[in-house]
Amino acid sequence: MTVLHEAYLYRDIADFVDTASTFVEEGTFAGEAVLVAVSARQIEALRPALTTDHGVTFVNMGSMGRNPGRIISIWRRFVAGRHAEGRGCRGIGEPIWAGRTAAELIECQRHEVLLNAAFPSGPPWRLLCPYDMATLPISVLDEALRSHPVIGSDGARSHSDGYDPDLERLGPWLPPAPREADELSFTARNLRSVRDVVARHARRAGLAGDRVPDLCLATHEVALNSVRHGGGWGVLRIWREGADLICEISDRGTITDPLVGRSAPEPGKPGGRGLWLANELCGLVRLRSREGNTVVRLHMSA
Amino acid sequence: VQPGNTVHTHGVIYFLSIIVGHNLTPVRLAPKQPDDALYNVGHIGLVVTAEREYDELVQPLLAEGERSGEKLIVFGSTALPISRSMLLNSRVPGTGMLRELRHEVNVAWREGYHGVRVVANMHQLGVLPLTAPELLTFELRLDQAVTQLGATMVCAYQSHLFTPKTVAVAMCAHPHGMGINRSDIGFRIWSDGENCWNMAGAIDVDNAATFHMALSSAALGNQRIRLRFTDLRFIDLTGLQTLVDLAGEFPEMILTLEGAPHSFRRWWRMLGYEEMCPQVAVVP
Repeated sequence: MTVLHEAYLYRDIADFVDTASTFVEEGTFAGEAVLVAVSARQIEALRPALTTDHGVTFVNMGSMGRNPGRIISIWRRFVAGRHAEGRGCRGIGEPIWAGRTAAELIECQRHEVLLNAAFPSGPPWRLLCPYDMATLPISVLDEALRSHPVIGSDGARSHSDGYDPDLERLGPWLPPAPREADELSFTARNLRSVRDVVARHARRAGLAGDRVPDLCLATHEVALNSVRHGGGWGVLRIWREGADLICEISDRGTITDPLVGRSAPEPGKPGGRGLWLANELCGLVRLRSREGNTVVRLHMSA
Repeated sequence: VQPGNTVHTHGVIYFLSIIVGHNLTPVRLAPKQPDDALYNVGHIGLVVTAEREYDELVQPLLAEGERSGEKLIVFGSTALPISRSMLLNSRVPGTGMLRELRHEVNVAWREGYHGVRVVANMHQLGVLPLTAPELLTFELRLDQAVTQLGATMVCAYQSHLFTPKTVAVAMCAHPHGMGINRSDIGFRIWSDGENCWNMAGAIDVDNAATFHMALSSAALGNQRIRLRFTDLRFIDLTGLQTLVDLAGEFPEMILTLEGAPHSFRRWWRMLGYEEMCPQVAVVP
């Protein structure tokens, strides 16, 4: 593990600013590049507290990391880029905030566990994940202790005794699709029908702008994976859940790499881009796979 | 009727007569299009199931042309009665047809005809031995010539003489298709002047190889190509990769993708193709 993945449980915005600014400045003084991915409000509070923001990049986690399945590929690109320049780096990323839906929260927690395995080689770097103790439920904070090997609070850091990077404890399987979901079996011969059904539902759900073509492309690519790697066929189920339109593709394939779709592909290199693109385009992607059964759910909000 | 549409046999005679006749009423067809748009469609692919159907469909087209003072040219043979204004070119020029077509049209203009309409019974032109890629290349060249000459041309494919796949590939290179094209490829590409091509339909993993074939053929020997998406209904990652591959195969060529939807342009950037293919300009 080359990422030193630590959670920091902060009491309020002042505590966040104090810890985050110290963390950032340790890095900048050492000549490291720093990426800070937190909410717009936190960026606004942190920026003036820094002696210098030279070498610091701020991104709004609320938009960039709305789908937590996108975040690892961003860290991977950042770290690889800095290492290619021969420069050290560190980051602050807050993927979990109050107001996340239940589905988003589970995927965020899975993301936190997966981060521990996402950097198996390369120079070490530090990633600090702030958790807001004032607004997050205790169960979420407990899970932070399990998904991070190092924990900080009140200015102190220590190894987490509860650290357990086992993905299975976090929603091993998805709840079944509702009975009213529209269903379509597909093979290579009717991928066009898959797109047609998705487009029809997306328009009916009021998806605006590029969200209709985005969801059609994402679903098509995931369905194509079923055709190619999932036994030649699959099933599309589609339904609405709150503000989300959900497209589920299931097949008889097995995905063994839990980090699939969390790396930006090399431009021009064919293959291996479908799930990554789905993560980039959709509001949330949920993937579960066990022997002979893979389910991918794509969420897009209206 | 928009380029790229397939009109099935039902009602085809009516369609033929209005699309090529001088007495057409544009409002009935496409209220928002100028008259020119209707005449410029030029190249029509027709799929028929038998010789008899061919004669039945082509006869009113020729009669309409004759009434309009156009020269009628039939490549191949026909059982139809030969009229005064009809030239029967039975030399079966095969792929030399382009030269023949230019010659016949130029002669027709010199003879003072108002227009030229050409019907080709394709299996009689020696195209049967052509592979699907060769036929596609041939049809694209033909489409370019028909556009440049301002002629109307109907390429008739008898479905029992060609494989469905061959017919489908050939039909890709016609802005309009009529008849039952059982294995429709899903997109059409047609010329819009020199080095400019229009494209309508969907590109995906199923037809990306044919799309690549068509683009390679269009690109051959050109320093600059414009591909205009007139109605891009869908493109998947394989389709996008096809454009990247084309840019790689013709590194000296400047490729402009025009009319690309916003989503397309976003995906193009997202996939890193903007940096990877600087010679490809993607514009709205």
